[in-house]
Amino acid sequence: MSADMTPQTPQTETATEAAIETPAPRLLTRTVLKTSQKMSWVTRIYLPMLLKGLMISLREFFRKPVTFNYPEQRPKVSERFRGEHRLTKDDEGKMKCVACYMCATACPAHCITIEAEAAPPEWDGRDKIPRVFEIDMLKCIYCGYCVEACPKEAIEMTNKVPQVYQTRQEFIYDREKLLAN
Amino acid sequence: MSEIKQVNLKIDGRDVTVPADWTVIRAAHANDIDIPHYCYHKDLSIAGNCRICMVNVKGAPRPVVGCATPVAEGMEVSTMAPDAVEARKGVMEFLLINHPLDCPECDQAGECKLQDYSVDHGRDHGRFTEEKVRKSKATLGPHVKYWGSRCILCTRCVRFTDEVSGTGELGVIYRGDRSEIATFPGRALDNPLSMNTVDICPVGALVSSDFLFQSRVWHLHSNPSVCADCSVGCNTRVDLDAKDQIKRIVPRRNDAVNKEWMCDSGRLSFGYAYSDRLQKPKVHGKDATWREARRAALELLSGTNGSSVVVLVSAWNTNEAMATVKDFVSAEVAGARIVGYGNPTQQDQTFPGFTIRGDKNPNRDGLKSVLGIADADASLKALAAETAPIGTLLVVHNVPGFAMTAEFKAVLDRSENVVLLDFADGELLRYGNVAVALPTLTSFEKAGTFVNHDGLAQEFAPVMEPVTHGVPESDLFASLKQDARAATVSGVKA
Amino acid sequence: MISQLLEILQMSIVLVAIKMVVAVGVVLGAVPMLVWMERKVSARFQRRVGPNRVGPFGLLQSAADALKLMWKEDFFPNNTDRIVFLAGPLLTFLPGVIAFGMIPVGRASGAHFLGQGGVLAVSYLQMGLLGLLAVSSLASYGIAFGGWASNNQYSLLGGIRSSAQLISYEIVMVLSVLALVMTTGTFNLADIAQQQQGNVLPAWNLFTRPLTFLLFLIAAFAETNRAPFDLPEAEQELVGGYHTEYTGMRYAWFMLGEYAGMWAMCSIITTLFLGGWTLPHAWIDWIGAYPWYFEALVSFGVFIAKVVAMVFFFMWVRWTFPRFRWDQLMKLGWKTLIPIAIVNILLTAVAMEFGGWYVR
Repeated sequence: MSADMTPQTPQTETATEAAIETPAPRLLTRTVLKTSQKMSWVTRIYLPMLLKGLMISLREFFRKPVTFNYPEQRPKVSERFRGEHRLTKDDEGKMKCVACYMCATACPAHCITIEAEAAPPEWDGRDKIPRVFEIDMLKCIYCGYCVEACPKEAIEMTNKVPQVYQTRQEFIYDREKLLAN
Repeated sequence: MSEIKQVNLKIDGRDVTVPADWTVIRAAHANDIDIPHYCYHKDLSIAGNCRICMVNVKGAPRPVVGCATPVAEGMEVSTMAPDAVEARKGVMEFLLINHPLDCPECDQAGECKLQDYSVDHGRDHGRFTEEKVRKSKATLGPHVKYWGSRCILCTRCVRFTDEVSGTGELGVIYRGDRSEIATFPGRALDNPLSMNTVDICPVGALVSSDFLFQSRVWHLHSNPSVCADCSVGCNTRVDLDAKDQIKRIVPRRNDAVNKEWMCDSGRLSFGYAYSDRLQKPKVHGKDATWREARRAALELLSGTNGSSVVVLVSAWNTNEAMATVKDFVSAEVAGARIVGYGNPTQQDQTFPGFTIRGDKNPNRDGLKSVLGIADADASLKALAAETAPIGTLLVVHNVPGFAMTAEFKAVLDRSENVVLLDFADGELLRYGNVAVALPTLTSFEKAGTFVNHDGLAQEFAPVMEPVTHGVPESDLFASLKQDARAATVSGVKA
Repeated sequence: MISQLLEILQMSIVLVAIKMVVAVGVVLGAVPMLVWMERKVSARFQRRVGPNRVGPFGLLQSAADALKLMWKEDFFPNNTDRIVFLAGPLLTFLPGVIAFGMIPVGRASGAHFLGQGGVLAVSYLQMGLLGLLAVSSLASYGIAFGGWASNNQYSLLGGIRSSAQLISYEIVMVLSVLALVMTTGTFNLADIAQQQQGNVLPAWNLFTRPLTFLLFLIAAFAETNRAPFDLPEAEQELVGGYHTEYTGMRYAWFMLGEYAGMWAMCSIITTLFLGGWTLPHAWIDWIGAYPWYFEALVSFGVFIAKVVAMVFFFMWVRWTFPRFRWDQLMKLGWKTLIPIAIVNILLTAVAMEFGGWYVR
């Protein structure tokens, strides 16, 4: 058995060459844990260890909880945190969105609803704007694919921690809310 | 007629045999070998101006355009030869020089040949740093808008108006990189086939103003159907959005019927599927359950002598519906007279490449073949001429936009009771003596067969779920028959 | 007036009725508090806050949960024996209440009309300990019934595990009780509690018979199906074990049963090993100067305090140790604890022979 598993030195090469090129691998099957040998009788009756465990959990019992009460207490997030979305505006204060549906297409949660309409004729170089642009924040998973998909840099994520509301309707952010967000 | 000689050639190593008057691109497409193309269209003349169909022909000093090169015996064509691919790359870059790259706003995005071939042959960035030429935006006609900057001047639309519609509204104006498509002064692209130009436009230059900004095409799902708007029976593809709403209807190629064309009226003919539908059965104007309505209908149909029952079947019904009507009448109201009718026939609109039939009924031939009514209009006229009162009139209607003729009104007025099968809550239902109204389905919601003017029977399947509580006629008559049997067995039949 | 009331009280039927109401009330009142306590304690062991929304400190959380459970769908699995299915949760809950009824929870020395020697117990039995042993293992029937009637492999496995666990650890428990009774010389729970009063320091059996206590404690964990012996419900392996198919209030009865069983078991341990309601003479003798009901209240309070401390220990263990594997459980029971329990009896006998002080 062991003779089969240890690599044989090739007959055609000298011993030194073989030693350099193929160091004998350590077989995993040989590293057997032999723990039972080393355990003293104190360990084996196990009770002191149980007591030690109980003391550890008791120590945790008296420490301060790490919980924060979420809707009332807000976590401090870094500036690079990506939370709620907003729709951006260009230099003239017009929204950049052209209702191309790329964000809605990319969204894995299907939380973006867009309905397009023709842009006002005086908006130069723009054909299409969203009449309806809604994000259902309950469905949103904040993956940021919409931001990546947007060809116009019209949607981005703020570092606002997702809000909590009492009704489902309040979680649906419409165009105006997203523009002001 | 002399047989056209067949020639043998090799395309991408495959031996193909095609008629000698074909060009390379047609030979390739007929054998499922793709050659990129913008200006080439099977049913239009060859222009050879987009230059994307470059192929390598063995022996030729440089790549040639596949659309304008005739096949020849022993020719060896390679579509993916390095020089051909390089040439196509050059053409792609050249076409995109003045293209605004406004795909986010463009309705063509998703079914745009520029996008497709950019993936195959395009560069990932543009080298053109100069200012792009901005061209005009125009409304060419009631259904078609033009975005000049997106146009690659393939002139498919121009050739279509010249060759198929024969109306010739479109032409190319200006020169060089300022060239644009435009209508001739004082004219508009308002022929009844105008929206075909939108279909054949390989880019987003011509867009339908009816579909404009309605949906992105990748959010649509498509189902095949047959147009019911006239007796041509155009093969169609119905595109529906995620909510199962019909968004547009486009032609489906069938060289035996409509090639790849379709009239504007047929494309926009889906409105009746959504507005003024008869939602539930009605008995004397009040909503009723199906059971009540069927009982009331049966009482009216079987309570009277069979000879005083007249059945009116429109030419908008499927063969299947007509067959079940016939079956039901012979089984339950034997002796009843079956009369056909339809939308009044108008003048055929004939164009060089397409004819819109004046017979605005999809299945007048079915009346003939299934019910044996040779001339539907004559049979209605004959009925209208009589004066004897009609006990119960069963109308199997299903005609959208029906204009009631004097004859039809005369028949209605003479009838004591009317049992109406229709999908619409329309003029006919409100006309007066309709005792029972049973909702049916539009051809978008049911399966069936229409026989077109040519005698070609075309089967279609439903493209969407019913939007009302209506049922197909075949199911309805089967239930009526069952109810009648049950009533006979229990002795309730009066 | 008061004497008339006392006379009515002394009529045994009225008295028993009142006692029963009080005992059931204590258990039913204790169980929601225990659920709340478990959630709070587990939260603190995991450095969480625990329920804190319903009522002050989340005290009404259990009420809210009960309200929710009442509105849940009343569900029966297909092809089930409905009577057995319904009996499961009840049989789990009732033994806890019955067992609590046998345990003396306090003593009012002067008020002999309350019971022999003023012992506060619904049913003061001379052989109380035997009665407890008989009743306390009934709860396992409820679990076995529920598991079988659910008509579901997981539930059935839970039920079988419960039965097998009971059979194995009942032996350990009885053997350890045997060692205890050898020295107490009585099955009377009140006497056993009284024996542990002590003069200055508490003479609890916990201190004088640690091995017996340990054996009993381990067996008690197994009997009540508490972690680390909660194999019958083992949610990681058996979905929910015996209560997988139970919904709404029937599920709630199972939960109540678990906590009622724990409450009863902690009461038993308190009585047998923590001196029951007693405190050492030196701590408590001043109470003789006050009326009987004051003594009754204080002793009852002491008892409850000890039980709650024991319950806390149960929870502490649950949230510290992982669950045993099934083979480990059997190995521990049969190959370790039973031999030790037998040796414990021998040791006790030897101690009794050579040290008269060891006998109570």
